[in-house]
Amino acid sequence: MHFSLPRRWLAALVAAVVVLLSVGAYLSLPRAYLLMATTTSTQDTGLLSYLLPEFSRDSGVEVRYTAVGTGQALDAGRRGDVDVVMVHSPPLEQAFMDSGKGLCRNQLMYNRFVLVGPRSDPAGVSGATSIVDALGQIWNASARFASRADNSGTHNKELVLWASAGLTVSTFGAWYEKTGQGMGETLAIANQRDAYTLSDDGTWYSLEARLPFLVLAYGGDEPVLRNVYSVIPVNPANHTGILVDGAVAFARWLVAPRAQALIAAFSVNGRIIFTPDPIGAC
Amino acid sequence: MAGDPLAIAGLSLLVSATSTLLSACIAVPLGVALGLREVGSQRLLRNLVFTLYGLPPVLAGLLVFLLLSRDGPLGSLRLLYTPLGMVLAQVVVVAPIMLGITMSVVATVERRVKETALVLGADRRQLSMTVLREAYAGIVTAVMVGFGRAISEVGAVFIVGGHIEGNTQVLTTTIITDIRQAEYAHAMLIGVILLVIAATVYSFLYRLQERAMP
Repeated sequence: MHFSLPRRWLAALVAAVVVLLSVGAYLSLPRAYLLMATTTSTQDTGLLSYLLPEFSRDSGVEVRYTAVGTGQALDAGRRGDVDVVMVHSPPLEQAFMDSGKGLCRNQLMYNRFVLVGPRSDPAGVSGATSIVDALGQIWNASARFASRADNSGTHNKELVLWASAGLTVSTFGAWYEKTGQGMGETLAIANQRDAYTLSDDGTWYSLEARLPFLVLAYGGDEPVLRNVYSVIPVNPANHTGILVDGAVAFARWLVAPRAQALIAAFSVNGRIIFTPDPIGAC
Repeated sequence: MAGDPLAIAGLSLLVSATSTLLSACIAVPLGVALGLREVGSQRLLRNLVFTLYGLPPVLAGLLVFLLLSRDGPLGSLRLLYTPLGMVLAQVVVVAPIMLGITMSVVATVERRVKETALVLGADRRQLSMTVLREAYAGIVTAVMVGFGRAISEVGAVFIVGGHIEGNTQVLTTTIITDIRQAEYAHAMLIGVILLVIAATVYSFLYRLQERAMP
């Protein structure tokens, strides 16, 4: 009796350790699912939860993903932490391909960038003739602008647009605010602070109803506002354990007619977001 | 996104020091008062304090965010995404911790000193003064622990501050966003600065305790 209590505790402890170790070991077993790093916009718009089950049904392969910034998504591919990346920043993708980290690149589709801003439109952007004109007016008025400043696809596009307006971001005053965060967070900050910001239309339409102080300030159709998405299987030459067959099958499936038709039919709050624009290279 | 490490550290220190001092102004007097008097009706209050003691910073952040948001009750103050808003969020996190520690320290010292002091003929006021003198190091510890919590806290300042570069960007939130952008070297540099600040605070604390408890 004297020893039974501690012994019982010891037995319980050993049992707990065994159970926890088995759970850990089970979770560490070689994975059968494809791992993808993608940007927050594909998750936030609901596109992934719409497309991925269809791919699983067709191929029998499950895809799991982590939604991060384009910079981190490509870095995950560079490190071999994922099998495939889906991103939207052609310049960064080109650098990724040039460094031999990507196997091949399939262009999928594009959506558009829009300029959103406060209802009162302090910079008078609503009458702008082009996005460059609109940004010039914001600069003229020194109206508050919230920049993602996170090396994302949207942020890189924003920098290109400022540059084509002949303006240098590093000379901007305090009206140019850098959030360093994702599209949803940055839109929320712009909503609270009466700021303009550049957003992809998918995220904007999905969040619009929850951003009462913001309106669409400029939404033109010029090619420069296209936001092109691509999928890149990670090059297995640099790392072991990359599920390259599944990754390539996924990239091919996405540019095939069935997936492209699904993408063309995808809508957010009743609005069609993505325009199919497949260029298959895988 | 990089950001000047010194400016970020400066804002971190400013926000955390302000919230620490503000919390001390509230928590120390209240903690002493609650610790000195052993009354049954204060049980409820003490339970409340110790519940808040475990308040998760993200929850505090959410509450302060909703409070300061444009459509929230204090929205007209426009304090969301400002350093002052961050101070408020940190006070909500830090004050209960300081209050809890102060209360415990004072109550413990009071129990230890009470009989001796009364036997030696001290009146109630003298007893309180003795307790306070004895509990001094403990109260300073409470304040320092509060500061350590404030400067290393990330959830509440991220939600309420919004991490706007050069405006509400602090050390902890910078590490998070650096990692998101795979800027590991910059994240590490910021981490080292944070560690140095924390180490300085706690080495001071250690020396103080050594002196107070021979």
